[in-house]
Amino acid sequence: MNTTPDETTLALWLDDELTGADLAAVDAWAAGRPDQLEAREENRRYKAALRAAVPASVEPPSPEFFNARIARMIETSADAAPAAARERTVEVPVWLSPRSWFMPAAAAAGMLLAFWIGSNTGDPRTPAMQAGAQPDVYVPESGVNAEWLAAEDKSGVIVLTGVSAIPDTTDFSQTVYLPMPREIDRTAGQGRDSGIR
Amino acid sequence: MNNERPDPSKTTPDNTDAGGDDDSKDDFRLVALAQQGDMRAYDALVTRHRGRIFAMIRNMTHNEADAWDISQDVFVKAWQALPKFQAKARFSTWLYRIAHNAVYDWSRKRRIESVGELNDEIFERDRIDPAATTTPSASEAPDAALGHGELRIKIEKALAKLSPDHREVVILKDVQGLAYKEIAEVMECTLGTVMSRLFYARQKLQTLLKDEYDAR
Repeated sequence: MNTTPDETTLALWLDDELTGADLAAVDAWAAGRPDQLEAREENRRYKAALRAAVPASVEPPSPEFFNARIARMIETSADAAPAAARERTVEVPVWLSPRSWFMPAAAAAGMLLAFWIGSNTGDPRTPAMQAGAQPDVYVPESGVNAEWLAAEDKSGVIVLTGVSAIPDTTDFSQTVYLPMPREIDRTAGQGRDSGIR
Repeated sequence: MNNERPDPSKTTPDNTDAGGDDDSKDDFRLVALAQQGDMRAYDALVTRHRGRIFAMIRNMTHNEADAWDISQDVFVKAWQALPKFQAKARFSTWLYRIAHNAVYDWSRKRRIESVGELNDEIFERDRIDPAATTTPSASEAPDAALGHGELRIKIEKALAKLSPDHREVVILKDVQGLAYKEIAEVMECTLGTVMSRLFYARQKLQTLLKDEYDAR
């Protein structure tokens, strides 16, 4: 090559991106130009040093959990499957087609069945409750009495007597999880529920 | 970087025909399966590319915990956009482009959130213990730590002083080994812009590193 390569070609040559005839042409042009050859060597040394110090690939911490969390995020998202998979056309039998006679007929039969079941099912309460008898209430601690108070609307209240007072020193924060507002926001907005921080 | 595991399956355009190697073929095969809803194939793709995506994002954000989250978002977004992926570009290049956008969104959101709040950037980076980690990670091999530790810290400090565009072009070209054309696709700019940015970024980076050497 007798003519000087343009800037783009020269930049590609300096970064070892040229191949074939283009590479041969610029190599021939640079053969008599030690400054260009030195510039390419300097570029190679610089990149080698950079890549030795800063790896191109670093496994993320907890790689198995990394993958599992991605899978969970995908499953819980609206796009549980790529659109291509969602839009796949599946051969549906004619008798299952929503536009066929089968669906309206099945819906009507279902309604009739539900009506029959509803009209032939008795009171779900136990016989004792229907008769107004008090239910048996079991307490896990001796010395504690339980009294059932039935209300008119067939609901009831259980009153416990003999339960020892709860000490003031009890730390409820150890027994109940109270999410902080920030945690709620992060979970809802970002999906960042990781415990790795 | 304590958990360095170079991925032998990855190649760079510097020594391979971009898009024509066996790894790219494997990617396309796995992508085709994943596009049909095969989660195992997609999991394999995540495993193949998570190291490079995580490294790129961590070098951009300088925050391992955020990089962990952003990398996962990248793969979720990639899954959602998978039907649009065509085999015109390498799958890795396409992932880098999603990562580029994710990092851009992260930095923009971070700027907005930092208004009126304590800005942790007021603390000098030099005062932060470089050995401190925010997430559990395996230890680097002792010989590698001795060989690369100091230089890596200096390079990371120098990279942090570059503008985001300059930092990204250096990371993509000189660390990740992408071709100019691929970087133009990732950063959505012209080839000339990539070359210009890289030229000035390298100059500044070498100046910054020279200053640090002279200071010792």
